[in-house]
Amino acid sequence: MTTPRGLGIEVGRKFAKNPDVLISRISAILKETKIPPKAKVEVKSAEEILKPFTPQQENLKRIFKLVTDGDAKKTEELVVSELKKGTKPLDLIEKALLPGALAVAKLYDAGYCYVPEVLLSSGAMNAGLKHCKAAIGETKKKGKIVMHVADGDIHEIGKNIVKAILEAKGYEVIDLGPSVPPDKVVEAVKTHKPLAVSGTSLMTTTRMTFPKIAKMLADEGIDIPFIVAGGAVNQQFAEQFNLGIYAKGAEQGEVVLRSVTERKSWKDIRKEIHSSY
Amino acid sequence: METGIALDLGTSGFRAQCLDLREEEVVSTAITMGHPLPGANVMDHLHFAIECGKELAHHLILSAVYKLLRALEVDAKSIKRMAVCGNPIQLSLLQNEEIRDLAYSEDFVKRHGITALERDGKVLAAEKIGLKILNAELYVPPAVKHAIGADSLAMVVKSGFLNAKGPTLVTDYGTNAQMALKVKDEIITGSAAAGPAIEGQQIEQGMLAAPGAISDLRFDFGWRCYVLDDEMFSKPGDIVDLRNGHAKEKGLMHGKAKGVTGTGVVATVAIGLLSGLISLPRINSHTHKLHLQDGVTFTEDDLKEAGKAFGAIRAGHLTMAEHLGISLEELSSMYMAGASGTYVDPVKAQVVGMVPLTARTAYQVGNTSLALAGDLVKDPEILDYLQKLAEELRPKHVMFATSEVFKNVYVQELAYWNEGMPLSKYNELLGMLGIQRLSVKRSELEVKRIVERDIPVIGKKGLRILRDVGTTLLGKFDGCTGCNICVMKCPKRAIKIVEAGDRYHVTVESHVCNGFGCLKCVSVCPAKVFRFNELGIAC
Repeated sequence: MTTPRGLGIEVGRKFAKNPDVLISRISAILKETKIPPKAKVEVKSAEEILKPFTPQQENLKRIFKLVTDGDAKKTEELVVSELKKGTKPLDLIEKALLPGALAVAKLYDAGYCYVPEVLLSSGAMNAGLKHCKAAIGETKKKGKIVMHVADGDIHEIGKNIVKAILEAKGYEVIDLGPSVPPDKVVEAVKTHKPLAVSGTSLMTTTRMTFPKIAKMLADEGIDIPFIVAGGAVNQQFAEQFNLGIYAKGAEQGEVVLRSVTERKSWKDIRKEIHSSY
Repeated sequence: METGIALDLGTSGFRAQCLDLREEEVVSTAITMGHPLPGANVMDHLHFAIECGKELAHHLILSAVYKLLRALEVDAKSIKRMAVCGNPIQLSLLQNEEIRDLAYSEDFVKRHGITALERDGKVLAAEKIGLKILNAELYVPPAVKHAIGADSLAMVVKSGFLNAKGPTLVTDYGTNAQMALKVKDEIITGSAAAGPAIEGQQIEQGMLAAPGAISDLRFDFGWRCYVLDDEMFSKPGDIVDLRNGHAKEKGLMHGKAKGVTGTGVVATVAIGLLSGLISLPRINSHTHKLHLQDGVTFTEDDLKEAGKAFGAIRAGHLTMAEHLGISLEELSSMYMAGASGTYVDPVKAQVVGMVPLTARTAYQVGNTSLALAGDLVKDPEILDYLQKLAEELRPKHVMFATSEVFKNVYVQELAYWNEGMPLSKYNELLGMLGIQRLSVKRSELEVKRIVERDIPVIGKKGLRILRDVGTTLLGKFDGCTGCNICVMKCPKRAIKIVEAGDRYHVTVESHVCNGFGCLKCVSVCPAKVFRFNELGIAC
């Protein structure tokens, strides 16, 4: 998992037409922050990114590596054998399983790996986690999100990708699965009290469930962001009902969850995200 | 003269032929430019029928059929038989049948007490579905399952797929790409929600195949655009520098290009990949777009959308191969059906993955739906054969959306197209998941064009093209101020405001309107009174 992915192109692209703009902007920043002109931009290697997450103990290190390699089967085997030996489930979760997925999420952000690898690592983490269920409640999670696929729709891939990324970043995902009736979504929101709720739809015929859910939530006095995603929805659609925020991918999902912890309202979050498109 | 009518109800339009039953030959052909229902693809049509009522959808379709019959210049009294073919949604709308079971998953259908239809083959009096033609019987071929309808059966039967030797693959490229794989005696069918990009939608300057659509790019000491003319023939356009749109040489169709169609998207992406102008997911030009002729451009977002469609098809092929336990490398022939299949360049289709990299021969077989409808009209007895075949294929259908193999492969496709994951990593991950790897070497493809155009024989009375296939819909919205904003903002200019006494009415041309794929009129109305589902027939 050490293939770099397009580093630097983003910056180059923005200013390709106007290098003068780039130079003047950098000069302005340098003047402000008094960084000596010879300051270098730090680009971490994959190894450097993995290091702070890697546990010291041999047994935990082995599990950590299996998670970053995305090997669900061996991860589960090793976790089970460690639990039999008396290793504390909380240690397994906090020192090996979770850091493994978090490290892969960081590698993904830095361009060192791709979505399918995040999915595999998240799968490996979950394969191990299910044997440590008792201790899960004690771990600190960044926050919860309830995710579902629209009533009548069975396309889960998009949701599963975002779920894997959010889990790898430390969020707890309550996955209601495919084709969920609106009342079940509202029920789950009331039970789990998440930071936000999301709905995915790939067929336009099924997206009409989302305004229904939004109204039901509002009737219950719930005003968390309702993220809508998938090929059948867009910004225009999301703006037709309260709580609706259109997400193009996991990135926007993260922004929403972070913003809610910062106590921003759904209206402000929608404004911020929609104007970024 | 006793005549029969063969009807093909497709996503981009309807095609009809009048046959002389005694001579068993085609007398005349009529095709429509566009579909009578608002919408840009079959899901939009389905959505329209659900929201605005299937009776309204039925009425629009019947009106279109009547117009086609008039264009065929056939005497209604002489029509003895009619046969129709098309995807399950179109056929059910024609018969004013239940369609909701096609719009939602099985569990939803059960929960809401919707009766799922079996969609078996049948014969009925044309009158029964509202076609007031005297004494004519209507033959409807069976559907296999879900999206695998009569049109897929036609693809399997008429393409030559059934008689081909060796492992054979057939694909009908469309919004719902239907495919079938045959290994010895075993046939498996599947359909992938490839998405509208295949037909040219969800692409910024994409359009359905119609005059003005860029349909191909061919090498002529430079890249020459090919554009569809008024007769739907692909004619040479300008040689352009794809990096900036500069026309190096003007062609016959200079100035005529309005957009790019699905086959044009395939050509653009293939050439981008081969020339290095595309390094997934980026386009390597200053503007990050590829420039075709007459200002038509192709963006990185378009590339992402196209990639999702190509990826779905390739993932579908791999999934079927896994299910039948063969490697795609054993594939000998590939049959390409549908309008897209006929007009696309198979070699370019292979570059983007729509045709397996290791296929050796590609057959372009034309419009198999219309051909099957014609066969049914000439020999109604084959309905029994079709019913038996459908029943045989039913248990062997793979629903890709719920197949673990498909999901695993498709995730790799998404990374390949949207993140620039290299094929080597793609194969490494497939290996980890226990799925066969994709060959990275493209084999030399032998292309066999079975037909010159998708309807090979048009009859001695010739071809008629029907442009106004739709009906004017009328909306009477309380609170409408006649501000005309919907008129101005409609991207297809399908709306007009009409004064009616002291009120304003709205008219919408049904075949022009993009329906539920757009709904701009609804969102821009300042008074918020535009209720699309209240549109009805203008009396």
